[in-house]
Amino acid sequence: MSKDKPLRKTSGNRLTAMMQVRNESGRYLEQVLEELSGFVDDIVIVDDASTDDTARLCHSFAKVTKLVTLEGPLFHREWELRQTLWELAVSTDPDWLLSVDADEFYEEEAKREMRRLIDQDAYDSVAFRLYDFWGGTTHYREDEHWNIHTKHTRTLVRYLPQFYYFTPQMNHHVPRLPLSYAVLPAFFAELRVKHYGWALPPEALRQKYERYMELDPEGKWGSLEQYRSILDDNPNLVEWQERREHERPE
Amino acid sequence: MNYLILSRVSWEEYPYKRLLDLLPERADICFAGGMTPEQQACSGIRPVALTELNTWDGGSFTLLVSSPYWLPDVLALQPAYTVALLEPCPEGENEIMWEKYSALLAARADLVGTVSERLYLEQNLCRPRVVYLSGDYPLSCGLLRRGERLFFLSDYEEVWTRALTGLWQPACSGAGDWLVIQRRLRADFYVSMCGKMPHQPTVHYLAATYLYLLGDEAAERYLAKSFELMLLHDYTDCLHSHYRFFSAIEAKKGNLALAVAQYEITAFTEEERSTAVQMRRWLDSGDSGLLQAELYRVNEDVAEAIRVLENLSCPEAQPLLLQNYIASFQWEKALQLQRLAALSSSEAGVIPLPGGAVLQGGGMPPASTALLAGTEIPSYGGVQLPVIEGTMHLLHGRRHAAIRSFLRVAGAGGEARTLFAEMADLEEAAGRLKGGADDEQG
Amino acid sequence: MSYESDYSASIERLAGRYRYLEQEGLLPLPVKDGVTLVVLLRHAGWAAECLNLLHQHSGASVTLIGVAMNRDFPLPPLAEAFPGVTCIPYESGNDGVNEALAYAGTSYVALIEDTVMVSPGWIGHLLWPSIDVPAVQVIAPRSSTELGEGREQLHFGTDLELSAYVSHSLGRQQGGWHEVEVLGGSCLIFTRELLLRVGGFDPGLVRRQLMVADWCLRARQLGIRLALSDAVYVHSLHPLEVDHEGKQEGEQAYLAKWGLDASAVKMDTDAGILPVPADVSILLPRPGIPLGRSAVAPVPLVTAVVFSDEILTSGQSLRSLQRLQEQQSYGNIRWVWVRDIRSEALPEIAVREQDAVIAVQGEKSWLHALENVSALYGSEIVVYLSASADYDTHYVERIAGAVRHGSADLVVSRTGSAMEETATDHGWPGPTAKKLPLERIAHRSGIVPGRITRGEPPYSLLLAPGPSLAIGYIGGPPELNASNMQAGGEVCL
Repeated sequence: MSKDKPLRKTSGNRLTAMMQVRNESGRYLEQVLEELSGFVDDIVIVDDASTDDTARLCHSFAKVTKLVTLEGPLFHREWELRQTLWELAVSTDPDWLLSVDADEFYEEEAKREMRRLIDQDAYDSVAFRLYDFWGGTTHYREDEHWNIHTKHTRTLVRYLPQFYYFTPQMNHHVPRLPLSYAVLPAFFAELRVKHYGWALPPEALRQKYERYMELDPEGKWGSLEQYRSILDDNPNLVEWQERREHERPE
Repeated sequence: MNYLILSRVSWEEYPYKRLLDLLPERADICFAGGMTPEQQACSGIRPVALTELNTWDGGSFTLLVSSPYWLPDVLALQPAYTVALLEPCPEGENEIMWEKYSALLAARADLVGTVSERLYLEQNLCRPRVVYLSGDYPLSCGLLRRGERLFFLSDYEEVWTRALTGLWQPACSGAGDWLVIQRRLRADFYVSMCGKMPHQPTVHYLAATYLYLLGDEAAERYLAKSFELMLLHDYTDCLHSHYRFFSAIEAKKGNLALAVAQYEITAFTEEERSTAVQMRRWLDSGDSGLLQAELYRVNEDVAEAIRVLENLSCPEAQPLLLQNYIASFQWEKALQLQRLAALSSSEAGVIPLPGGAVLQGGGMPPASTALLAGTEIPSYGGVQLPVIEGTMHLLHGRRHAAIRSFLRVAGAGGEARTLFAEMADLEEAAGRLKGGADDEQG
Repeated sequence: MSYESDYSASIERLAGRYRYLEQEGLLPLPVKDGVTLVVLLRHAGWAAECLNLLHQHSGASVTLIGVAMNRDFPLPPLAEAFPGVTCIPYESGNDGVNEALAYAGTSYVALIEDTVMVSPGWIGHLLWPSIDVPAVQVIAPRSSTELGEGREQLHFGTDLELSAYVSHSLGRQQGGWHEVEVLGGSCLIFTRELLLRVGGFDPGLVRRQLMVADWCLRARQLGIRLALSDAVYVHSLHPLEVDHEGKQEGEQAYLAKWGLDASAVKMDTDAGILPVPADVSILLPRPGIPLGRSAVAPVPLVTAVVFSDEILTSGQSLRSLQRLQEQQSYGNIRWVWVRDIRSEALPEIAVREQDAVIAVQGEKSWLHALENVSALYGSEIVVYLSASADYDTHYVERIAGAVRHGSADLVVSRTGSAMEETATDHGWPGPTAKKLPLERIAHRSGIVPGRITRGEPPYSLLLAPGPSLAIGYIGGPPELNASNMQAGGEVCL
């Protein structure tokens, strides 16, 4: 680490995206990497032992500066997977880290604001509003079980080398970033992230439901009611409205 | 040794009677206030009228003081030794005033004792001689024979007797050990509680605190665990209490670079950032003593900061020392330091200071100043020097001097009015205290 | 009224009268010659009060011996304040406790730390269990230093509070006691008879609690039962300064001594948890520790196996054995006499508890016993001695030292002269087996030395050492000179 590097830079911060992937072929990975390449400086990826051409796809993007392919999957040991990704990301001596899933897209406004969000010394993390798109890429779901966008999700953090980073050791539902950021000042941005993980046709949604029920039949790690709601015939969907450039987020 | 008890309550309600039974080398013991003949016969203690105190020769007495409003009398009596028995603010008392004058009493005392663990820990961070008058150790640790009666001493009672004996026999072997022993007992207790309550962040934090006071490297482990538990419980307002504490632990281990980095992470206000910048300067220039002291100060371990600074001879140490004296309510020492610095501002050489430190000639710039009618009023750690002077004048019974000092306080007059109000409150509180004692005497 | 109800009424009346006498302090101790109280003096501030209370509450028929346990203990002022107490000053290299116990002349002896504060009636109640059941010869009260269920962690503000508790306890648990596996507290009472059989406390265990526990286990190996009094509580003070010196060393020595696997047992002596062997009776007897003045760091036990080719009468046997015993300066020997009694009845030879006489019939059995005797006894070194031979005073010391400090399994003493160096010979080259005079041999434990056969004068028995054994010689190895070889492969020394 450079001795002269100030702890909190107000300019010239590098933005590094960090991502874990597994068998993303045919899904949104290529689009995500394309978009990220437009507003981040680096991308580091842990490939959880994909068996398709996910790794080759990642390599094809110049901004993917680090790609580690695991020999065996850590999917069922989520804490270990998160730790591996974290350690890979911090090994690059980053300024700011953006935790991105392979099916997440930042709205245009968020991409434009990104530099302003990180070139300051008042706060050390940024939380966004995540929207679960449902059945397609035009609408998001909003109901009793699907309302993550009513809260903020921390995805963008300043890396502080000597800080005490703690992630609870669990096998599922491990937070994507160390819990320790909760004690540092944060900014809750009214900027949005589109999650396409549920933007699937009905058959694919059913397959996802069945996978959840297989992994967690007793609802130890998640809500059984929420799992069942995946099969809802008529979920409440809201049309996504993209903000125009001059519109400020509320 | 003779003892004089200055109590907050009547003899009947006095809560430290057992400790009086255990006073070492007990000769004459007096209670300022009323006692019935039966109470005198039973306790072997004689009452003293308050009027007698005016002519009392305290030079051969140890005072046991359990109300801060006795402080003017303590200063007037000039006892051989003073023991402050601190209590949390009782109901009906002004909490701000109680805390302030308790702190001043503690600073004046040769030994502080308290049954409140919160006060015990706070005082441990201010000064070296504090006894916790409670404990969880289930066994007997000492004995004392008084005539026909044999007393078995609990752990803290044994510490109490050793602490008192250590006052008048500081050179005897083991005289200072009791402080470490008691900290070790508390540490062991909380470590065992961590085993029984593995998901409780507070017991881990207390274990870490006592281990830190002992200089035990296990402190870091317990603090880390406490921090993790705080996060898991979503108690996120712990950046200073928990994370910043790491920097004190690292400072004690001598890992100053890491300690500075840890402090920097917690520095957000203007004052904190400028402190962080100063720390970096000292780190780069190798001024490890000043840096270490500052790391202790920002972690409220004023006792350690003072210990380090009193052993430094560089001029930069003096204003820091002054600041720490003020923060720990050692205001007499602070004024002495400031006066000596002012007197010697045109002289060369070193001047001996209280507590063994020395002052280089050259004066001492204050942390900040305020302007009043064209005059700069020095301020240290947010406390203006005239306030300190005035308070000490007041406690020493120099009322007019106190008023003059308070009038010099900068501001729109509101601060001075507040100080005069406090003056009146103090006099009223002292009056109430003595009035209660007078009532007992009948 | 029926006979049974009359009888019950009588018993109750008698019990009531007894209780009255006891409460009034009118009962004497149930022992004619009194009790010796050996008090371990470590804490200057507490010792006087401990002795004071022992004087006050133990009755007239006690003898007090105070043993200073460290150099700094101020013995002279205590001796002046208590002129009736025999004081043993601290002496580096001498275990004062075993010395004090050697002086005990009463039927009962108590070992007490100066942290113990007794109350009225304490001692009488502790003597009764051994009268109730003669096999009970070790008794301890409940205290905060006792092990397991005997541990009671209490604090009292004054002696009045303590007395009230003790009285209540005595009243509630009238005469109650029960058997326990081990004791380790700061107050222990035992019979002198048992003390002479078991011997002293093992200073190699460093910590008093472990020494007491070890002693109790050795007592149990002799069939003795240990009792914990339900009725009696003594108050023990605990210094604020915790002393961990020697704790780990002592614990490891204890575990090794009793064959306990440290990884498989729970041990927390601070919490009163001490592992004990499941069945002490199947274990080899542990070596005894002599009473009296001795080295604090004991020399290792040597088993001296004595044999005689001659047919000796009891008197001759006894005299031979005594001669050998008196000759040797080495301080820690277990004497094992292996005799071929042929057709004679077993002679009676009085031996100490730790010694033995093994009598077999027939030469074959006798030689076999001599070859395998070391398997019976747990000691570091075995030395063979002939009842007919003469040895210098330091012979056992010298040859045992050579075994202990050298790398040889078996050491041969060429001559009786002192200060000879040891060399090691790993087997004699050539087909001829070596034969060594049995009476000049010592070996380390855990091995069978070899085959023993008849020899010719001057050596009645010869040992053909096992081929894999490393042999050392005091005085250097025999010369590799064929002229020294005799037919049959015997080596003349």
